[in-house]
Amino acid sequence: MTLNTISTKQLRENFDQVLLAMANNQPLTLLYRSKPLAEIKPLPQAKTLLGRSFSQAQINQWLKDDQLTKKRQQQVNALINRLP
Amino acid sequence: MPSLTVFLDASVILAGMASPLGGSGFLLQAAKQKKIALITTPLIINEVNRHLTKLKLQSKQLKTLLNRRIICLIKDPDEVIIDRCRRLSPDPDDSHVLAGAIVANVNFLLSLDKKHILTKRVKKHLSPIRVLSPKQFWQSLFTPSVVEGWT
Repeated sequence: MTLNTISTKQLRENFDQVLLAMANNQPLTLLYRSKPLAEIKPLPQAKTLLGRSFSQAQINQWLKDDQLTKKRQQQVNALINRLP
Repeated sequence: MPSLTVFLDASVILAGMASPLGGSGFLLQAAKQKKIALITTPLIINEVNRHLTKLKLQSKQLKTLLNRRIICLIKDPDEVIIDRCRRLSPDPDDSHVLAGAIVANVNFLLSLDKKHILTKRVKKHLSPIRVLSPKQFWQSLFTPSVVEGWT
């Protein structure tokens, strides 16, 4: 799939890409036999249905913030075992 | 059901799945051992599902967490409650997370989103629900008074 187009085959086989584009408020042009056939665009309620979109940088930052040192890992592991 | 109930934001589920030895990963481990109850909503799961590929994770891994009830689902909060939470976060799109935690009636809401959820305003308005990062959550179980210093 190029940036703003999707083929009917891709539509069938990779619908997650459509959902991602709609969540990012990005309209798509549907291609049929390599020619534009239709436009797919998100409605205002799409956001409520699909939720938020996170960037790769945001996700990487979360992973970084979530890291524990070896010592902390051992402490948390021991704590879990002590929980009732 | 364990007495410690925790509502998870998408950030924590994604981090937990990607990194088992991070603060979030240990939450999943504790839930697997039935030491804590992890709760979220279908909308948050939908958000997680759409971002799995960014971490090279697969949908079946998420399904396993749900099927084994390591993460339990409650229904999405209704629009009235979401609307009430809209003014609390700098990003109104996060309001369904805050509403979910309120409806779930949990002890903790855990997120890694410092900018929109781990804010003083959200913490104040969601009280008595404690809004923390997973690291702070674990620290709070060690020494409740020094949570803020364990970032």
